[in-house]
Amino acid sequence: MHIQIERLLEVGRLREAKEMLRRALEEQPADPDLHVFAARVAAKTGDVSEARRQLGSALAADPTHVGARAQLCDLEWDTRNYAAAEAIISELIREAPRNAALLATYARLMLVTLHLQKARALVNEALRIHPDDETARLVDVLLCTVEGDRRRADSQLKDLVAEDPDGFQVGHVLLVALIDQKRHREALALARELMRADPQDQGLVDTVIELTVATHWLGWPLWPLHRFGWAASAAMWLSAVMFLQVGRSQGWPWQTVAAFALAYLTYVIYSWAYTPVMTRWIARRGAR
Amino acid sequence: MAELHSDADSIAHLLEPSLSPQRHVPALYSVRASFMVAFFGGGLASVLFTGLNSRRLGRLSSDWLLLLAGGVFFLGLAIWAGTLTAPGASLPFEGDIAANSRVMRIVNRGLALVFFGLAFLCHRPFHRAATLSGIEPAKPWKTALACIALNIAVSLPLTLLGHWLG
Repeated sequence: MHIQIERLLEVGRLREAKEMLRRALEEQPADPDLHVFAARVAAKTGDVSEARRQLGSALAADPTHVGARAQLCDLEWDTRNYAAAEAIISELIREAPRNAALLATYARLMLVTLHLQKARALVNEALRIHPDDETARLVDVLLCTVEGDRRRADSQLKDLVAEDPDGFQVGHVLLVALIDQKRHREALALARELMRADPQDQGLVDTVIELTVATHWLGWPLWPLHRFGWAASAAMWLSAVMFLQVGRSQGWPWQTVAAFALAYLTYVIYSWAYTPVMTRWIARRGAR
Repeated sequence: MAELHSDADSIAHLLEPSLSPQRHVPALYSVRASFMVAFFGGGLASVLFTGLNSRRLGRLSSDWLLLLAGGVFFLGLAIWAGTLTAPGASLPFEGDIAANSRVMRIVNRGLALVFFGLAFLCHRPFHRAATLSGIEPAKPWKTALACIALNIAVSLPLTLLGHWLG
């Protein structure tokens, strides 16, 4: 029964899983595993209070149930109750200090809450204990990306993709790395693949829209700004000011100076307006 | 069992809680807002705005040197600009006071952007992590305008001091 429910949850057949769970709970109301499954169904359908209630029942039946505590940690994390998630996960690690995946998950929580030094220390510890742990390596790639260590992120990611080319988590982390490296076209192709696998993920839909905007031909004139960011904006402003100063001191005709100033201003306004206008348009039209 | 305890002990310092229900994940002022403040507000406004972001990150103890150096530098720059725009000042730029004033504004803005760049390099991992984690940036308008107003309020007497010194 448990395996059947697990399978239904994996393939997203929530209604059937729910029905099977209802019948199973009638027969075994104190089975904590069934309550954890019910909590997973509730969490997937966005019913947080029901998920909490089910996990409460699971922990009432077995206060040490690892699955229930891990699920509760996920729930607290998803509802941004990070302190509670931290309390649960550190308790789980105290019970299993050599579990690299748990350490890596804690590192991810620290990354999300901007405690980057601690995240690095935790992921290093996870990799020391179990250098091949996939979760630890994935979090390591994310941290390397955040820290700007592109070489290490690339090499770790290359191995992960070679080992698990169809892995959903691997795909997500690869997408983050590609976006960070401004490889927008490759990122867009990957994001579309991931979106096909999970069309309900609104975050992925937004990413596809953003990448479509970034790679659209109307955005080509903004390439320096996309590539070099604020440094390009500052350099352009400085160039424009110097041009105008030289024009003023050399006594160039005012029409030349005015035409340049107008072109520069038009470009600035275009760079401000392009992304919001295109995002709205592509979101309405659908990112093809 | 003894091994389990020793493993747990070796990572005990990593398991100290870092989060509390009272303290939320800091929402940073965005890079765009910091750029705009440096561009339109000048150096002192940029130092103030960066200081507020450092405070949000709980990094004042790491960033104080950058902030202090930036603050002293831009205060000095405001006084120097005052000496260059005082009546009878030496005129290194184009030979009139209006040109001096204009060039000093450009210099201040350019150096403010340099300071913004330095601060950005210090905070870049946090901005990246915030983007990765989907943390919405803090609303910058009121703070940015306050920083710019404070910059004007401080720069004006310093420029007058520069006039007097010049």
